[in-house]
Amino acid sequence: METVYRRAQMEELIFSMVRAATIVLFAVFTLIPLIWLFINSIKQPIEYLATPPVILPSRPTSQNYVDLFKDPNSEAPLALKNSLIVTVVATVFSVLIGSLAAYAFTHLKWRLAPLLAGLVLLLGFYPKITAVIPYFVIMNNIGLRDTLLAIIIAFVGLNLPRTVWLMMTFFNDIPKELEQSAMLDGCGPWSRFVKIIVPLAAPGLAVAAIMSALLCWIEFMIASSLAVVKATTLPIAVSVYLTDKGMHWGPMSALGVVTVVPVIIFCLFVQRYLVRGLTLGALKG
Amino acid sequence: MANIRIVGVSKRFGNVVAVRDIHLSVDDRSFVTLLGPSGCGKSTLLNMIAGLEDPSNGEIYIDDLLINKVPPSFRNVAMVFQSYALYPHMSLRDNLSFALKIRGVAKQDIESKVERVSWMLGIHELLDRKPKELSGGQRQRVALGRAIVRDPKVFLLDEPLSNLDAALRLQMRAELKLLFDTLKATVIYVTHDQAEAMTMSDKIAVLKDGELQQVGTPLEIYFKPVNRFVAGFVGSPTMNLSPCRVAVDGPRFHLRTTDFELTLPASPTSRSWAPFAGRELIMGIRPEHLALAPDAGEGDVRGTCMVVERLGSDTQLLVKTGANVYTLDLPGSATVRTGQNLRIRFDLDALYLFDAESERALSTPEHLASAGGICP
Repeated sequence: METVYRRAQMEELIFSMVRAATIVLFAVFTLIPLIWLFINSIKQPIEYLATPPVILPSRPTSQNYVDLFKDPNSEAPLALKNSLIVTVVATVFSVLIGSLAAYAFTHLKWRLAPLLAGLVLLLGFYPKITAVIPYFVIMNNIGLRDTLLAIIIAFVGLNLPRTVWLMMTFFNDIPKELEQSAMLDGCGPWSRFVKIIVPLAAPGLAVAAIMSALLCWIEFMIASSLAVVKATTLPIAVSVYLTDKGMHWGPMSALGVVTVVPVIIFCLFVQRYLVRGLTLGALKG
Repeated sequence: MANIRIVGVSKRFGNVVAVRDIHLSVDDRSFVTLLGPSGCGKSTLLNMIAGLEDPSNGEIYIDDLLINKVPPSFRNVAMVFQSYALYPHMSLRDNLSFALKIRGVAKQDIESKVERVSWMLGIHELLDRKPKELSGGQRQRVALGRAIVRDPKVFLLDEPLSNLDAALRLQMRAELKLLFDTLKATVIYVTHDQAEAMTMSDKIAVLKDGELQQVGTPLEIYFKPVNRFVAGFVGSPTMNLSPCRVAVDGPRFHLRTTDFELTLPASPTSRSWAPFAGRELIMGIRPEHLALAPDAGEGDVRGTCMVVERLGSDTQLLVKTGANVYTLDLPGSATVRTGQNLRIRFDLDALYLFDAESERALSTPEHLASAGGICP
């Protein structure tokens, strides 16, 4: 009996050590680049290419951040404003259109629904780079290139497959009797959606909105093909510091931090809902 | 309130026929139960009356108005679901008033109706709570209240007691009966529990594999089952059924099973057995019509007691007579132990005979039906 107890204790100890090591490894891989980014953003210009390399700055400076927002040639203020607008508007439309489509696919008696739902899923799998040129050509032809509207339309298109499928999972988990009860109570499809389905799928809508917002905030490939000057977003503005004449490490790192910090704060606030929402979609309560 | 007429209704889901050619009339202010095992099509039939499913064939009338194409909300029926289907994000007050709000009823009228129904069902103190804060019985009452508050023509109840524990189910059974008697409502009630059906209904419609087997009062269903299925499904404990054959021996008739032979009572005091002579039959006898023989007598059947279930008011025995096992329901507390050899006495006037092939009832004990108030 005692041997079994000791073996169990040993297993517990080994498991704890493996768990701790995994967490440390994960933190090293994910946090070190971020820490490195922040350290770079507060270094003196001479320290970037110093030999031997400077790990910690001798005299930390906030000049790079000041330049980002004070320098009249800096694109950062415009990029920040554009990113905010594009993220909010594209997220609202993605969730609105995506949840309506998901409701139609899951709740309305429609013979083509499974086929179309499969098609939407298929759209989520194509390599996004293949959409860059079509988007560029279409937006250029209809005169929307370098406008926020063009980027919003593209982002909504990017987000929709995932939003639709995520919301379909949530809607499928809502007992059909609730909707049948609402039908008998006198609700049509629209009021059933607004009064019954949406409140019950609120965690799912929150998850869809969070994931959509994150994608819009950091998307680079399609945005860079559609934005030239006026519609530039934060990831594009960061890339501007990579020039043929060299890299501007300081402002690039500072703008990188400006891009990343809102995401970190946002995730810290919403991670509880994100995890709960994702598991809610997978499990029946 | 209203009457309902179902004429030749069928429902197919792909190749599966869930409901087949049902004809059923529900009188105004009557309580009719659709009874049958799981998957027999009773809930599908209820959903078609509610408008939640479209019939593949046939017609449904409420008050002589064809409602096949009428949307659920315009049929003026209220449904209580097995899962109660309370809106979890709304308070009880909002749950009760939701349908009235949707229909544009004046705010004052809504308030007075909600008040009246909540007092009637004893849930007035709970009105500001959410469904998740309620017990099963309270949720059940709210679900009923949500139906009553609409003052519908027809109440449709889909196994509303099946999620409750046994004690609460008994209590709610009585409450429901009392409530619908008071409301003088037309009710269609779906259940697989024959005790619920027997105690609450004016009429029972028994279904099996989507087909209507029999419609009748509870006692008609119990005493005069039209076939083997109804006989076996209604009654607790269930009717004993075993294959048999009627043999002729001069003026006497004998009932032969694989295990024993019984001499049938002679005409004219009893039924005529001649039409069944030589046919493959199924013998049926209810457990309360089997008794332990107090002394050795002619025609008693020997068996071994396999199980003794003492329920206080009565004792149920499972007795093996050979290839067959018979259930006995004895009054009081019988002093029998497992493994004991017993002699069973059959009440031969209480025998049911069914055709072995078609399973239709060929002979039922009329005196039992008459004693139950059923005209022959």
